[in-house]
Amino acid sequence: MKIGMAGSLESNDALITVKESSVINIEVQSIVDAFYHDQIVQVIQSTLDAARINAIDVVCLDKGALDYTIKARLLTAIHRMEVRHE
Amino acid sequence: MIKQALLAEEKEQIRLFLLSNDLGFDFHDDAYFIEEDEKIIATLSLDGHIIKGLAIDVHYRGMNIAGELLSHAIAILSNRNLYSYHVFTKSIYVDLFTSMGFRLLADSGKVAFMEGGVDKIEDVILGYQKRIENTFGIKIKDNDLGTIVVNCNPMTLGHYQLIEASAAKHDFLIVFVVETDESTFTYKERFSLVYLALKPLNNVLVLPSTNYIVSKSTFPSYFLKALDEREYEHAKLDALIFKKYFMPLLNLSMRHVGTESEPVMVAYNQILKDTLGEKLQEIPRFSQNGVVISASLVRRFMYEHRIEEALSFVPHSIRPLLKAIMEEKNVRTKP
Repeated sequence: MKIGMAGSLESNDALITVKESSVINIEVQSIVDAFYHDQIVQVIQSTLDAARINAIDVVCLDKGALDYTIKARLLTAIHRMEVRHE
Repeated sequence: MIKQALLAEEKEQIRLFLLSNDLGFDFHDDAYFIEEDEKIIATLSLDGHIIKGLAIDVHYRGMNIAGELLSHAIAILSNRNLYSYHVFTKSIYVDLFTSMGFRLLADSGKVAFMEGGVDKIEDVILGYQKRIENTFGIKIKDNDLGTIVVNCNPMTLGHYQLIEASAAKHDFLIVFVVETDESTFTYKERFSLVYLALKPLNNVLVLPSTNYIVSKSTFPSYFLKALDEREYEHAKLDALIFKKYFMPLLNLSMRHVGTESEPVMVAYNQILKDTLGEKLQEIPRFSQNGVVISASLVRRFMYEHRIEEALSFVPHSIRPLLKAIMEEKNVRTKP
């Protein structure tokens, strides 16, 4: 199975794991879930849209990362998934 | 900065630190630690895919040091291509791991077993559900399924009769063979022998036990000091996982066990009984000419190079294969 991972569980960061899937599936667990859950899902979704990815499984464990951190972690995880399995 | 304990004296320091936190330590594990003023303030260990031995000095809590250590551990595991992990921890740390995205599978009240990463126990079991349904061409919800978990080190006539008797009580019987390689016979040898011996039984399916049933790798021996207490807590987690996940998801109505004479196994059976209640049934062991058949008896004959006698206690169908395996083992163990 193709898997990629980026980030960490330290404060102001997020650990993002992506793996192959036949649909888009986004799972978010955040320390600020009550306030920003939907926004984090939105950031992930729009990043995937921009990268023209329409089938992937994303798990995001967020420790209060800013939007562009999440975006960078997600793109790195996807890149690692592709590179490692080329 | 996180360091890996490489020197014996570093490991000894970690052992003492864990001891002061009421935890044990296994010197074979990869241990990581953080120091402050040359004093250990936090540690975490890895044993294969298992994360354990997490402890933070009481003066340094609330600073997300656990997050730092766990991130480090997860990075190391992903470098080893391991994306699914198990955690053994004291029950009091369950919330901490939950906040790190780990899922609680069982909590004995003293120790807890959690999983994180890609694989989920439900997916593993649902995979089995499909396999059972495809093998027998059935829907599990419409049938009565029984189960038995065996190590079979090696398969004997006693095991065969126990499984045959259990299979007769159900529409179908699922036999789980313990995957952990801690026995005289390897998992592959044991599984092959069980598979071969049970081939004539049409309503029996033999499956690997997964990491979730009687897996020694998931029952580390570090977190409670007294051996008996530790074994007890491990067995309890094992029984709880079986009850909470395997029995309902696979629609298993009954788990069968043979009566045991060894103290540890007697205790394990008792814990299963306490946990599963009426869904556990003990079946008396079988004897042959007044001798109770056991795998230990077969192994003893093998070590004494009395292979023909050893083989008299195992099913006919596996004698040629077992003979070959035994002869190979005896050659290897000769001085």
